[in-house]
Amino acid sequence: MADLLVCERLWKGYGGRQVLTDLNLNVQGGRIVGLLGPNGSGKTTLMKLVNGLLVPDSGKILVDGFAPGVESKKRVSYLPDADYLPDWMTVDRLVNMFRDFYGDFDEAKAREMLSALKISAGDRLKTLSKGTKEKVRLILAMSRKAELYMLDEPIGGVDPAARDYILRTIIGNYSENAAVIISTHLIYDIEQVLDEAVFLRGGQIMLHKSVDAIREEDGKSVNDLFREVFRC
Amino acid sequence: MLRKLLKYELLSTSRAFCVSYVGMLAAAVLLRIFVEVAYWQDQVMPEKVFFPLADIIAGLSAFLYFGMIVVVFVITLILILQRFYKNLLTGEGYLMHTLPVTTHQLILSKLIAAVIWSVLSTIVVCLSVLILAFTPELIGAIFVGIGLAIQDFQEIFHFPLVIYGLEWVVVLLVAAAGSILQIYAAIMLGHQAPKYRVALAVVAYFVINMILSFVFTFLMVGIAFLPESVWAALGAFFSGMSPLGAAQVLVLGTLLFNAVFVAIFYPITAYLMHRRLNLE
Amino acid sequence: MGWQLDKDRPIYLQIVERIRSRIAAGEYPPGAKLDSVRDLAAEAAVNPNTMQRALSELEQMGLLRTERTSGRYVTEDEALIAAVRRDLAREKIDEFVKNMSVLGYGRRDIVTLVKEFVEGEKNNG
Repeated sequence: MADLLVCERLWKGYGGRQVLTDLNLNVQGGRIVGLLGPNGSGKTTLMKLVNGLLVPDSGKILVDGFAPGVESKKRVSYLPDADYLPDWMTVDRLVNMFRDFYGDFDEAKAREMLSALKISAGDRLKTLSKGTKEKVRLILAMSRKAELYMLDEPIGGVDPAARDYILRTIIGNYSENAAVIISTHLIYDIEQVLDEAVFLRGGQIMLHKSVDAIREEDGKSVNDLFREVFRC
Repeated sequence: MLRKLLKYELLSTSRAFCVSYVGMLAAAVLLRIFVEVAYWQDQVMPEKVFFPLADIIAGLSAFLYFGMIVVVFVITLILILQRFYKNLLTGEGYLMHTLPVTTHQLILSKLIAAVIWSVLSTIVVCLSVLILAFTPELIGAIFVGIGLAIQDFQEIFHFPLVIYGLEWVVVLLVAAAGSILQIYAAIMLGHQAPKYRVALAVVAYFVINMILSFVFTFLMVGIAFLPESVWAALGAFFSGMSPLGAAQVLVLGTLLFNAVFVAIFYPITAYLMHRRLNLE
Repeated sequence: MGWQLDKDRPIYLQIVERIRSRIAAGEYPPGAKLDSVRDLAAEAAVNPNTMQRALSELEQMGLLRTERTSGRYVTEDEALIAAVRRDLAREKIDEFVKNMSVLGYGRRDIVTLVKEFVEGEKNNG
């Protein structure tokens, strides 16, 4: 399976500190990878770099062979940890917008998922509750047949029912040809969905191991291993 | 892609603009009506000791009208600022910058929309003046005047006024683009700081203005010190020219002057957005 | 949500145990068609690759069979299923006896207690 994401010797610093140091990461298709680390470890910075929202100081990033740019953006579906959809738009208009700009957007699937949640197309985003907004964002991101999905803290700050929905959607959306990278600090809730765990600290990868291997060889849950490795 | 971006740009602001344009024109109509009423009242009952009401209302609606003009221009400026800053540099930036479009397309879509709205706002204000001044004879007079102007122009310059007019339209568009790009560049410069980005953008804008004033003054003074030979050459150049030549040089000169601003501020904006973007 | 699973043991093994039990209990009847890997994974709230690994394991054990075009089915080998049920029973009994021993009961006492219990249930209907 070819590497869908290649990060080679990435360095990024700003605000006077080094955020990523000589970071190397390869992710293959058909894998759900957890990018795990405490706040400030560089998870969001790494995601921004892959999406072309930041430019590395040095190093290489390749998404399916493309450097961050128009071609890579066609292949990456990004769910950032931010309120990034225009509030004034209706759900319907947002769906249309995604359809207009993304060739891999499955409009029928998005509408189906939205109506299954009883979200009305005519609703303006700003009238929806926080949890519902999260679901809309997730649905839009997962309705794209992308090659790389990058989800930044998708289950942080949502109620357990929404969390279940989000995880189930991620699983149900699985494709052998796509990779999913989930960055989170809520490891316990997400670890049974992961194939691989990447521990990130101080801008460096401390560990990149299959989750099965962790359970078999270390005899621990990923959460427990994480606490051990990151013990202050 | 650029077309799609432009479509969403215009869509996002159309409601605000339409409302203010309608308001502007309504204020003009209202003012016109009240002025006519006041005038008529003046004719019919010159001693309106007890009824200065019509005058007062006319006065108020004049206030309203001029207020609306300010509103239209303020709204235009605010929306130009907001669409650039809010949509590209705050939360929405995560959406816009991950769309499969280039930085240039993002900037151009905003710039084109901004120029369109600026032009439309100006047109609407002019229309409102027309409403105020409207009489049936006026339209006729305007057409006659235009016809004469075209004729005279053709005689003097041997060149169609329409085309010359269009040349100036292009100059105006470039000038508008230059001003807007100066704003964009200032915003991008303010964005470079980790905090107080809006305040710094304002500061950057005024600093740019100051720099431009200095440079301009410097050039003006410098021109006075140009050697005799240069003045002689220029004199020879211009005296040998036809009236049309002079007119075209004027257009070209103004165009180049404004194009310089575009040439300075567009690359700054594009570079900072492409390589120095830092969304929170 | 999902199947309750221990996160410090390999998940695929737990899934194998779970499905094995369900087949033995008849919850997945012989010959029944299983949901797709993705649907099962979503139901269990686990990674699809993990579910795939578990299902392959179960196929190796002969409890599932794959029809290339139509999907996965529970085996129709009733003898095998019965054997699995017996194995599971033995595991449960083994655990039960161990636990009872810890409480201090000897083998004969255990049998007596079980008899009493079962009879008691019969009498209470």
